[in-house]
Amino acid sequence: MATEVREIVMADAGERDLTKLAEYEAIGGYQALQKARGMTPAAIIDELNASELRGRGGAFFPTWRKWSFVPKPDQNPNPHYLVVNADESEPGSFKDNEIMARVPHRFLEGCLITAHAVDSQNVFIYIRGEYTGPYEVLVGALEELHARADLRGDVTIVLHRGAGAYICGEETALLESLEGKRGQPRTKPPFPAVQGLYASPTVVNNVETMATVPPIITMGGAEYAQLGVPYSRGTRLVSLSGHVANGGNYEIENGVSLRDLIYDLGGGVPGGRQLKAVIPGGSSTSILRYDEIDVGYDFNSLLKLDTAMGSAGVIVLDDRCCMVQLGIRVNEFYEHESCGKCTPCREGTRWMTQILRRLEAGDAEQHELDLLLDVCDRINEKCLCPLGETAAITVASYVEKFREEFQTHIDEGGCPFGDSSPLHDVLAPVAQHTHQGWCQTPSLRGTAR
Amino acid sequence: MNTAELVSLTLDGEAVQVPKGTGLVEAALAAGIEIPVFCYEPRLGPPVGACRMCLCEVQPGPPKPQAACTLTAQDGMIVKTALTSEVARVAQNATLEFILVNHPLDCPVCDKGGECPLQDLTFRYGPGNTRMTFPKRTFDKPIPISPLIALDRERCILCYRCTRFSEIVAEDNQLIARNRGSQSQIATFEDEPYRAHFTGNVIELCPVGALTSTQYRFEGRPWEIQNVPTVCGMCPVGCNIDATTREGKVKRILSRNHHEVDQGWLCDKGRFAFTHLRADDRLTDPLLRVRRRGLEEVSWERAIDEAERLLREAEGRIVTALSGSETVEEAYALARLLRRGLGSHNAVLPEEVSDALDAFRLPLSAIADADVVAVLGDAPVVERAPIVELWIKEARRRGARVLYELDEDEVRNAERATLIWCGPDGQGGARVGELAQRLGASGAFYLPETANGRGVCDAWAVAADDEAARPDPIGLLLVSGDEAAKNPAVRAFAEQAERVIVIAMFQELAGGWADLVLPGTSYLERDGTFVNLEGRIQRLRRTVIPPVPDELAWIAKLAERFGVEISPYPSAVFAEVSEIAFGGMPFGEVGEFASLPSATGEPTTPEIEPLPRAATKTGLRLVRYRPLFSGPAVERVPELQFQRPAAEVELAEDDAHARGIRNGDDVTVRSNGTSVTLRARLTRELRTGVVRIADEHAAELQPSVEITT
Repeated sequence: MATEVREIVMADAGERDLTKLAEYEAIGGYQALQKARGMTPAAIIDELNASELRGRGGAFFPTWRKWSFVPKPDQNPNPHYLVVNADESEPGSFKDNEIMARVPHRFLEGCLITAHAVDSQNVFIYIRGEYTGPYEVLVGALEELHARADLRGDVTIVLHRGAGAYICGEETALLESLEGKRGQPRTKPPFPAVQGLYASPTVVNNVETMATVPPIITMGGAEYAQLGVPYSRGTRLVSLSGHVANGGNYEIENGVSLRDLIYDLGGGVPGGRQLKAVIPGGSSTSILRYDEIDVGYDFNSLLKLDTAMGSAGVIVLDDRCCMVQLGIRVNEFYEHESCGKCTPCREGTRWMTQILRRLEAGDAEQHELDLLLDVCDRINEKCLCPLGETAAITVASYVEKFREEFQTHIDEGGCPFGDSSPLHDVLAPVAQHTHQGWCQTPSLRGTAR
Repeated sequence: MNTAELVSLTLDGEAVQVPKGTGLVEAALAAGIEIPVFCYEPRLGPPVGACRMCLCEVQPGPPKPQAACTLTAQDGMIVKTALTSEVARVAQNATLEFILVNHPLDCPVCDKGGECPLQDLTFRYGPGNTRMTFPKRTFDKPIPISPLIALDRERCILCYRCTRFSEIVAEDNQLIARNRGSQSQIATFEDEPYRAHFTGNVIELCPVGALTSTQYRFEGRPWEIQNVPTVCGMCPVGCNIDATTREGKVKRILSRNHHEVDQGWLCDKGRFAFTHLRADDRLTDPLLRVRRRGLEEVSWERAIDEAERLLREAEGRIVTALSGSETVEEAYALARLLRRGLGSHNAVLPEEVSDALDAFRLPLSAIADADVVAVLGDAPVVERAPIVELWIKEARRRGARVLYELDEDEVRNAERATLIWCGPDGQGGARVGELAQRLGASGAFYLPETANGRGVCDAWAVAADDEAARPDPIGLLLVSGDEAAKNPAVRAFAEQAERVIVIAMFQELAGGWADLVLPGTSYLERDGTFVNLEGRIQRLRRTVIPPVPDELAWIAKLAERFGVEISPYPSAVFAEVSEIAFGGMPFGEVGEFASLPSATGEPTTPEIEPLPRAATKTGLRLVRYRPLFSGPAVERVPELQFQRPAAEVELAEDDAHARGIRNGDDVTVRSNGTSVTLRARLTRELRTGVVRIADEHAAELQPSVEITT
């Protein structure tokens, strides 16, 4: 498969300023919406089925099926809601940021089509609070849309800003937060499709999923399904970051080789350093060693290596990186973002940090490495939502893949990398959450303008 | 739910059949299998699955342990608990290990020690040792979240029972969780004291020693105490309680779940006011007025002699004022003595009573099933019969419409309408009975003002058939109980009476006006029965020996001197009353969880008087009410003083808007010649034209008032 950018979601954004409604309409924007409004909801869902589109937020659930779970208005008279998860907070992921900042109308068109498909007149976009840039772009786009009753129809779109909690990217915590409550996940079932926002049928979809809907309607589901590889159809917007020459967002066909992604599109590891490891799908996916990157960047291929595409944030790590420090950094993030509702996540992530810090300081004894893995085991599969389990799985993967390095910390009584480990280039410190205002992400460097 | 519909599942290899919709925790319990829980508490709304204590292997389902508390039994389900599943055993052990990682393990000095679910479950399912070698998380402690409750955040396991109670059951929204992750902590909003009617329930809900009662802290260990089942005597609901006693003293009050009456909730008055038993001005010796020397302590023998003398000297010109806090037996004994022994039939009864509601008799829990609840009478339900307010809230959460102004059509069209009368002019329930009959309501309740007012009135009525006009002049006024002693109307009679005998617990209430004071006892010190507002006869037990002889004992002795035979034993007296009034039910059948006698008689249409209009021509109608946190008992509990009502006037939104008044404004309430400055509180639970002020803030205001900013 060719290693080249294949722009469906980001199409034409390089040539034109698609934040303007007129520009977007000039390239055929909102025609998919007109076409969709001529179709029945069932026909749209069929089209999505044909496209084999799966959710781009990370769970990879078939989009058409999620929509089809929503009861019909005669089965449940409550209002139906479409909630868009724009709370992109996964370390290593910044694709939704770029979609909202550069193709807001394609995204909004997708929302309107989806609203039609699930009989909803109410759309809520829950956008990460720190995303002030995309927020302002969306405000502008919505103002333009508001003036256009022909496009807007009877749909109300509400833009709601989050208040700085990673957990609100979990769909049920997001709904709680949107209802004005403390952002904590709910138990499932009931699933949001049946009982979501205000206990009414609710579809929660990711930004990229929404922005993919108009092209699917335009080109037809079958045509879209020609792209990519089995089980992972179409394109994916990948956020490439870390120790890579040309970081940024790249829209590629699913199934491209991970090595080519890093070396061809990303320009490889800069400064003559060696590749050490790759986190393939944002901080919540298990790590791959340098010798495991000859793999297709798609769901099935990565699953065989016990990892995932997640939210498509590829983090490249060079040979100066300490895996214990990486464990501390990533785990502290989850400890900090744990909502505190369920016991294993709340208590376990804190304990993991304590053990990891002891390892890094060289104070740990042999049995503490086993203890760390046992704690991970005792968190994994016991939590209310995936957050805590993610911390456990990823840190355990660092130990599994780089056990000798963890052992060295014990044997040598300290960290062989010390302060020279350049993790600060890769993942911002946890303290970033105390900052208010516009976060400069690397996202706007990637795709050629 | 159709209970006939059963589902079959397998629990630890045993086949179990339960009604469809049964939770897994209950299904297991039915089979004698424990699924351990901390956060699960069905009375707090839907399960939250937070603590992860209940993790079990469940098929069908995802291939990982499931939170059993969030699941209901399904046909063909296979459940394996820690008893038979290694996966579940490890998961439950892990949860406890995580909980204990930062728990202070200060069990030796923790009030919960010995009655602590965390201890019990750790013993059964937890790790026997610790692998935690790091400094534990610490917080400042204990934090008084109110003068009644201390919070230890280090012991807290964040099960969110307390915050869910505050949000979902009491709906006061004052307890919250703040911060997140391992720094999450329970707090009150803005760190204000937790000031509401039902706060103490969170102490009982807490599965660890995080929320403790300031009254009970360090007062006893579970192996030193005895819990005595009885009922609360602080309001007409009659919540079922356990009185914890140690060394002959009541140390705390716990709820004792009667699912038809109180659902295991208790108001703060019922829970915390018991320390009035040990008030400094509690009377223990009879007092006799000796000319020029004032009141002097005398022996009980002398006091009974003096009582006999005063009763004889009055020559039948006696008025008896009753409190409604007497037991049925005590009131009956008094009535026999006075009516049969002395022919003195005149009494100031604590309540107006009517049998109009006997045909509509339903348990309080039926309120929750109503689709329309009309709350009439204009007085605040929570101040008069607090638990009824929780039932109304539950009805609203289940989708009922709650009306505060009668909409006859809505009541008529409802499938299950419940009427509740709370306030003046209720004619003992006749008015609401008439409405229920006319509008076809399925349930009707009248909220009396006193705990056993109905029982006392019944007992007085069945003791004799004769009636008599009020004697003039009054030879002797016999005042029974502190509530009657506090009643201004009774005080007014005393002015006209030649002699006064007062039975009271406290010096303050008996001092100035009595010729003879006989020390009284509290509901926690008596055996007998109370009749609650539903008409349920409930058993009071003597939880501690009172410092004085109980009323029934000396009344029996006194009655003997007038040739009236009364047993000093409540069981025998009850049998006598029951024969006439309760269909001959024996004392032994009252039981620990009293059942409600079935509805009797055909609905009748009682005679009712026209109601005063809401807004008078000259202004708004003032409803004064006696706040829950008031009265002789509450006044003697320093920790409860912060609960006394704020200086507020409640008014309906329409009335406020018409006068440009906003919530929280300082306003002047005026009537002929009197004015009071109070804070305005807007409420939807009041009809237009009516305003409400607690007695202690209403000063001399007249029934018709005007309000200005």
